[in-house]
Amino acid sequence: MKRKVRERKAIWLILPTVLVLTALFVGGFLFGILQSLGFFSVIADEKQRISLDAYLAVFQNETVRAGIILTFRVALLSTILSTVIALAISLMISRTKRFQSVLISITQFNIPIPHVVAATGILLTFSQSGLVSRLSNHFGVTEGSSGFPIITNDPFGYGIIMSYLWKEIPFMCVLILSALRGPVTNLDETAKTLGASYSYRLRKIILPYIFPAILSGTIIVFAFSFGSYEVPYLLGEPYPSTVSVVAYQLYTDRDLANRPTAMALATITSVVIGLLVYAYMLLTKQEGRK
Amino acid sequence: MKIIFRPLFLGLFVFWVFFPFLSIIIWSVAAGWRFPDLLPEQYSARGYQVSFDPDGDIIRGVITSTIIALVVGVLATAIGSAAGRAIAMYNFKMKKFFQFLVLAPLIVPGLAVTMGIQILFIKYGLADSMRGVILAHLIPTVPYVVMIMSGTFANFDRAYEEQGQVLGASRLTVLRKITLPIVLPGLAVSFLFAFVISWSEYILTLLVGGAAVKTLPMVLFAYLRGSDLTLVGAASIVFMIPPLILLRFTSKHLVGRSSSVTGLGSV
Repeated sequence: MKRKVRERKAIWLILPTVLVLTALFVGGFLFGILQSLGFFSVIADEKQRISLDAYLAVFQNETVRAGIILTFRVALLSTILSTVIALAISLMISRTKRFQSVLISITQFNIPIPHVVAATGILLTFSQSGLVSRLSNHFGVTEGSSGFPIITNDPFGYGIIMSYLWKEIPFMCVLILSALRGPVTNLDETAKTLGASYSYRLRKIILPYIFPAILSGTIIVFAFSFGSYEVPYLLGEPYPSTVSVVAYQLYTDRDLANRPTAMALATITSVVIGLLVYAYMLLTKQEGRK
Repeated sequence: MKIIFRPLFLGLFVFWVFFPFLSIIIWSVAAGWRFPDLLPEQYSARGYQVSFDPDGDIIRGVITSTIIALVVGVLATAIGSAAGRAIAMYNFKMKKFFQFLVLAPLIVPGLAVTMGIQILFIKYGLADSMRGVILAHLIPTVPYVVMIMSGTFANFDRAYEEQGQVLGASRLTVLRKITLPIVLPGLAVSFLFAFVISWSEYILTLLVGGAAVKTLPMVLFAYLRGSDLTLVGAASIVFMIPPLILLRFTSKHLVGRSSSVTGLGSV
């Protein structure tokens, strides 16, 4: 009897979230798919024709193809590098006695900085006429602004990756540091008293304990760096550009016939990220069981 | 070797965190800054004069952004906290499915979803309006609050509430005097995340608000397309001050013994 009452109460608690996410998120996702199939055409005099043409158009689009490689490269490198660096920094901070609280505050400093500001900072610092180029010119390492390598608005995506690293390393640090300050501290202390070496404790106690936090962090960072718009728009090239930038370009194109293609690209992107995250979760679940 | 390595690495990290601010700060007070010069020849307060002009784009952007982010912060925190409590403390049908629904917006790009829903926003008069922008901002913010608050409520002992009830306190009194004070750190961090995400959001605002709702990111983007880097610098500084002030008041709850971010770690 009591369980039933509780269950009913839970329904009221989740109802607002369910309403918001169903109406806006699920609704938006489904309406995107419908529009990619040709429903709700914005071209008034055209008869509604339901087809998979938009999906074919996505795969035939040269800009999209170039964008896919860039997007994967940026997302993978940003995720791997930010995870490894954040893990190293967090472990070092947790072992540092002096300045520990100062260092923790510094890891948090970037978290509330908007991505647009992060991209601006990277741009003003690393562009050919940026601060690093001036310094390198001053000390005779490179000559003039054109002698400095192009690492912002570049075809490889260095600028985009740097901007993501600048924002996501602190994000991962906060996740890992808060996991490190949980109950694992007592376990670690006990093992230390019993004479376990740091590398042994790291492998057997600390890493297994913070593994879930790292896992969640990598998923959030990967999905974000794969689908975000602002940073690749500001720090990327017009061509090739990441899929989100291409999707937005297609959506706002003067030629309204491109809208279903934009929707198809957005749908494919969402499904690909979803599948990758799902595969990653399955893989790491098995790893966790070992 | 080993002793030097850690301070060196951490020192590099600290440098990396603050270095990009340096160019922003210098540009914001520069009266032009030609290429080979390490520092500007002349300084000027023009960037900040333009920024704080009461009729200027930036101050209007600050007002619009503040209203939107405050409303989104309060709404998302209220909506998501209830769901966080349900996940942490109750068993109910389709719980797994509900958790999936909450996680999905953290994975699927907001751009994809908003492009799909724009047609409905136009139809129901929500496009080009602040109401529409606020609704769109709930998509990325509510899931964060749910995750953070489910972590907070996971450490919550229901016995405190039951004691209050036994002693005759009304439901509202229990909520106000017992529950809310205990979960306040989680609420603060939730509000921080929701406010900051809304404050920084560009593409959702652009899609839904069009040219009608000019938040601060819109203004900064417009400046970035131009060539006046002094304005870009000053606008960037104005843009990051409010989130940093908010962080100042919530930072002690971010990483700590009873951290509120742990909920995010259970994705």
